[in-house]
Amino acid sequence: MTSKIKKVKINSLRGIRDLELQIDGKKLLIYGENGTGKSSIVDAIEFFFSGTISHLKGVRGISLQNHGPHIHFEKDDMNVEITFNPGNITLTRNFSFMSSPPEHLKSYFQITQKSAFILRRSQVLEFIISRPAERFRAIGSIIGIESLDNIELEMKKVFDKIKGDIEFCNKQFKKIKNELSNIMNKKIGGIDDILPTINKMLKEVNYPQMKSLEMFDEYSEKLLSYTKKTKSFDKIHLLKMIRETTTHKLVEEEIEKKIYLLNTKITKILDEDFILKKYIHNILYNGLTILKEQKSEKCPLCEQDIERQNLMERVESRLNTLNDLSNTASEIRELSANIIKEIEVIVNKLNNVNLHVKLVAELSELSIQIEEQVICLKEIIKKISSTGDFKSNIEVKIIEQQFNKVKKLWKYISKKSENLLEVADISKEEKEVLDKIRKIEKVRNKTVEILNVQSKIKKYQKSFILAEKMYYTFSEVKKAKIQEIFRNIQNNIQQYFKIIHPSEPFENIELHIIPERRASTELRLDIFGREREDPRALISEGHLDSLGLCIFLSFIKKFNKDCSLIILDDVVSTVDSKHRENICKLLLEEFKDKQLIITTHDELWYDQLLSYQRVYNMENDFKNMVIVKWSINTGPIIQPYKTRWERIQEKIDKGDKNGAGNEGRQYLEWILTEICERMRAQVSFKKSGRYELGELLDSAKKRLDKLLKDSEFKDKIKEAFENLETKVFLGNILSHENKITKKVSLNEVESFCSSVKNLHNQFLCSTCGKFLNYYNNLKIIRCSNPKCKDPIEVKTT
Amino acid sequence: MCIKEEIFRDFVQKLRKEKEFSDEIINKIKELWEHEKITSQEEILKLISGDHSDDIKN
Repeated sequence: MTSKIKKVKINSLRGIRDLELQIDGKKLLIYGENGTGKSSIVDAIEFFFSGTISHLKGVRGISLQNHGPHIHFEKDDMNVEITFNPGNITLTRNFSFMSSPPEHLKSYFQITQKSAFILRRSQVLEFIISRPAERFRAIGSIIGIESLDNIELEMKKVFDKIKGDIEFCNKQFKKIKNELSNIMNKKIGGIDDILPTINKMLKEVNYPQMKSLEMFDEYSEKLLSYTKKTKSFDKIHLLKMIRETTTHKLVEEEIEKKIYLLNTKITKILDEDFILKKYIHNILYNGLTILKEQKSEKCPLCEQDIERQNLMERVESRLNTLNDLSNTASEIRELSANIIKEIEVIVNKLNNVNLHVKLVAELSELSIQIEEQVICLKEIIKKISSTGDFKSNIEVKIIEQQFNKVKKLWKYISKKSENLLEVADISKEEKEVLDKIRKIEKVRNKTVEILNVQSKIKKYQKSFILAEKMYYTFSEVKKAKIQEIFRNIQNNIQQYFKIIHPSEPFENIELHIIPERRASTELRLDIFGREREDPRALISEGHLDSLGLCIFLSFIKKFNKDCSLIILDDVVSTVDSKHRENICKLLLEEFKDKQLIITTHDELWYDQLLSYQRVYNMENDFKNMVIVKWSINTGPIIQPYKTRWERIQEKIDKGDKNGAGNEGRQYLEWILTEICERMRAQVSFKKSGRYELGELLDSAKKRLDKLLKDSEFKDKIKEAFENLETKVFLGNILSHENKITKKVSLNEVESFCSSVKNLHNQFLCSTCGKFLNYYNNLKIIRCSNPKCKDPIEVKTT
Repeated sequence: MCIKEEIFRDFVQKLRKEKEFSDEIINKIKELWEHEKITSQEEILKLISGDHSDDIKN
């Protein structure tokens, strides 16, 4: 048996102080004017299930903690309690506690925790107007694939990082190759060129040949054995190595430029208020659409003169800037990987030099300084690694200062080793051997470097293939599956949209994954013979709203099978009366098993829903409530819905003549308006839309007199009108405070109201109670309920 | 089976057809998925390079 909400108890949340709603597992319909706390009820239910109130999220300066609780209470006072049936299970949520749902409610909670059962007015258009990525997110939260987007994004990050590593290694490879070419005075194409070239060098000075590159160390030793070493030989050998290494730049200017560039990109991301940019993007996007379609040289908003072409170009340029944001994030990841590699090279160089520095007594004191600098550089690596979180800028100045310190130390070591070399004593023979050894050493070092880089490239390339295949496979599978879901759901969307808009030319509503983007969904439909149009291009706001509703409901139907709850918070305000009736049909036919909670400030929509409950014999499935009053101190005062007649009776029972008369007059106004509309009576058009009772009464009477043939039905109508006409003046008198009011008796008021009710009854189907309509093509007056088993039918002239 | 699981199942099936993905790496992917660690960049990197280090050793 499906679980349903039995009772909701709300304390100190938004506009509610204390409220208890006894729903008894039924559908709930709430009417209330704007600002009377309807949405607070929805907020409370959302908070209960998800621990959040989605419209308080992501807005600067607004938070759940500060703006969730009632203004006169603290956050600890905020509490929501919901009782479920079957089992009469009561669960509670507040800021510090959430009851754990029992086993049989777990799947229900899995759905409701995502807030994917609520549709608010502001969210309807998320499916339609928003950008493809936002539409995808809106749908993703219903179908429960948000976490898959994170997985895909992380895979993409890994893919970007390895790509950055490979690019860096390729540059390193090229650089070392050039350095080797310079040392050996010959262009080196690859590793295979090194051994022949070095052997050629050795042959020139009559030294023995090297058999393989692995022999480097052994060979240097061999060369040393060819000569008689003096005492200072080893030291000079070390100094020459230190000198040779330190003559080369330690920190390339390029790396500092890259850090500046990285910081600029991060600053751009940090400066971008993503939410704000999203809104701006929507405004610009819609504005551009209007500019393109309107083809006017006036601003569509302020109607001032504009240069349309120029404005369109500026808007397009701004939109391109906003689209760049996600590309920038990817660039940051690649660039930081690259910079880290370069700093690691600096660290390696310092560590290598330090090995030699430690062995020369006059330089050994510099060893500690080198180690300190290595620690500082490793800190910089850490900071740059964290740039991918986009939380803070890089302190470029500090890094620059650090690089300057390292460069200064490097220069100092170089200078000092040079000075020590100048005063060293060495023979000509020794010098020659040392030069040769030094050259071989250099080739050796570079060869080791190039082999390392080559091995890294090989390793990264293998990882890259894995990362690439993993990312693209995941992305393709995800897109294919979601597209399949879209295909399955499209029939429902089409079917629901047809229910709301029968015989209108909308076909092939299509949700479509954009293949070249990571997470984006397009919406298209065929209309007026044009295929695959963006609905925003050609259909009205009301149609867009109902399309949004159909998309939401289609996903709910497919994915929220284990959850009966659907909340529609004021979602039909732009849809006209005729189409709203069709929405009633859609909800009561297709979602009759769901626990609908519908809130509205629209009296007509409320009446239509009440009326359709009767049509579908579902009065007992609904709790119909009305918020009669709200104040900050009381919160919403909510009462069960009463029919107009029940309200009149209540006032008569209390002896409230004016109140009952006023209700009676409003009742009459409503009935006469309905009769005029349904019977197609002619009423002189008034711009204000306000008609006198007399005007409506005359028009209705004349129309029916002309329309109806002599019959029992006509006689009854005539009698009801005549009965009313003798008392209608009471309605006018009682609706205003005047002296005559006092002379009117309670019985007279009751008699007036009864005559109104009597007129109303004449226009209701005796079988199902639905209002009668005039059908011009059939020339009949008939019950307007297509499902009526025995409809009243009266032939007309 | 929910959509998330269906997508993951199809993803693994497709990876199995790729010669670069050994049973070992696919099992590791499954393990990460089960422990909800596949959203960690570090874990994915480890997974990819780990598989590679094994290749080097071999």
